[in-house]
Amino acid sequence: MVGKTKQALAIVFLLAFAGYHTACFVQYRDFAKEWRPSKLVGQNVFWFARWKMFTGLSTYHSVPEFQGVFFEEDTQLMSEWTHLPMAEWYPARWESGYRWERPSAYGRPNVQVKFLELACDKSGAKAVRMVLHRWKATLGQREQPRRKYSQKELGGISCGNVSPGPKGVRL
Amino acid sequence: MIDRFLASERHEGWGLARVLWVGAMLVTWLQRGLYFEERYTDAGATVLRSYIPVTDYYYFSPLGGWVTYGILIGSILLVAKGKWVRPMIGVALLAHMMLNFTEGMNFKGYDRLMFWQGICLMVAPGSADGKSTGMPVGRYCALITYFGLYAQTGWEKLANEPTWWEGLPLMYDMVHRNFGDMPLGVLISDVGWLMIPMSWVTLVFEAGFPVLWCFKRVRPWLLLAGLGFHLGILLLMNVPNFTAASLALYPVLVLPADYLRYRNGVLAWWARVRSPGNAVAS
Repeated sequence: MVGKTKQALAIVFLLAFAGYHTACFVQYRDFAKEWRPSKLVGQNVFWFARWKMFTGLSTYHSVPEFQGVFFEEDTQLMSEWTHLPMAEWYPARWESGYRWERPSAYGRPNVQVKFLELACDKSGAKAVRMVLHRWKATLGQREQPRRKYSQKELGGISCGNVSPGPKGVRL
Repeated sequence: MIDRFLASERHEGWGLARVLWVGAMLVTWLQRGLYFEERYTDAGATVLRSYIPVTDYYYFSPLGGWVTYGILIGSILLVAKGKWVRPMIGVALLAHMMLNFTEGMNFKGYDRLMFWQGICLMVAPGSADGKSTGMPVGRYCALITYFGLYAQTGWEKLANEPTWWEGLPLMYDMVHRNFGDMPLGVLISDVGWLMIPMSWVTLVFEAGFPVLWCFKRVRPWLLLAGLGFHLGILLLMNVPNFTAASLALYPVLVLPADYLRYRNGVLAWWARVRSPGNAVAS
């Protein structure tokens, strides 16, 4: 009897395990666009077993840079936009680069603002902004000359205004 | 049929799998100890991300972060030692998740893979030491995880990125500023006659994995190809943690008897390599 109960529990567990993995896969492939599992529970929970590894083609390098403007006492004027060495101030790196190098960091204003505030704190600038440098990658060599170069501003803030902090409990 | 499907087995591969999982977790988390406070505490940027906005519920001070990190490393070491294996895997997974969710930006694919592998180890027989007998639930979970891992990414490449057949994504991955830029990878990135077949092999291996695994004669070659695939990634690209995590449960992707056969074969080969004279004499 115990054996049968254990078997039944094992089957239920395996069905739940396989079901969740399949749900992640189905949503991932968007087989049926009208069926969105996320709608069932209000938010997307079917991503934890979803993998997309080095799938897309990206032929360009994209490098965000922080820049700041400073009040110059000598001239009583604001400076030009100046490079801020964020990598020296916040040196933690992942395989994907620095935290702010991820498109999910600079592509979401509520996330980006936190990194802009860090740049304000460290630099003492009056305003900071992020600029994205983009250029075509060159195969077969480590030197990557800036071919087909372009840049665009990703957003900025005036220092001194602080965005709301996390609402959770500070552990 | 269910009796046969769930028949008890003793899979000695679990012992090696547990060691490899511990290794992958340690390789990953010891690196993250560098600049830890910037990564995981409010000494860096505490961001609110979608999916699960955990910083609405909790976030870490430097002290709280370090305590959680200490608990994580301690529990992994206890798993390595074989002490309270199941509860300690549970503790390690909880700390692993708490830290990753708080950071929000770099919850890597291999972090999620190591989570699922931890679940597989928790439902493995005994203390996942390869000495106990039990239902093969953990092995089935490992198979489901690897089928999903490879098939999703392979089928996505086939369905949505036709340039994989021309080798282009792989070529440009090799010169990616962060994921690539390894000397050998950069060197071969424009060698079409090498990169195009490598792309094809990647597509066939990933997309075909669940199907090819079902053929018993193909299975050892498939897993050998997987080993080569991940070691190749280690050599050519800058994603070492992914390689460590991906290979962790490979020992239990074969049947128990096959594992013993392959293991004994490798050990015999190693003995011959170490002392060729003895092998000739015997």
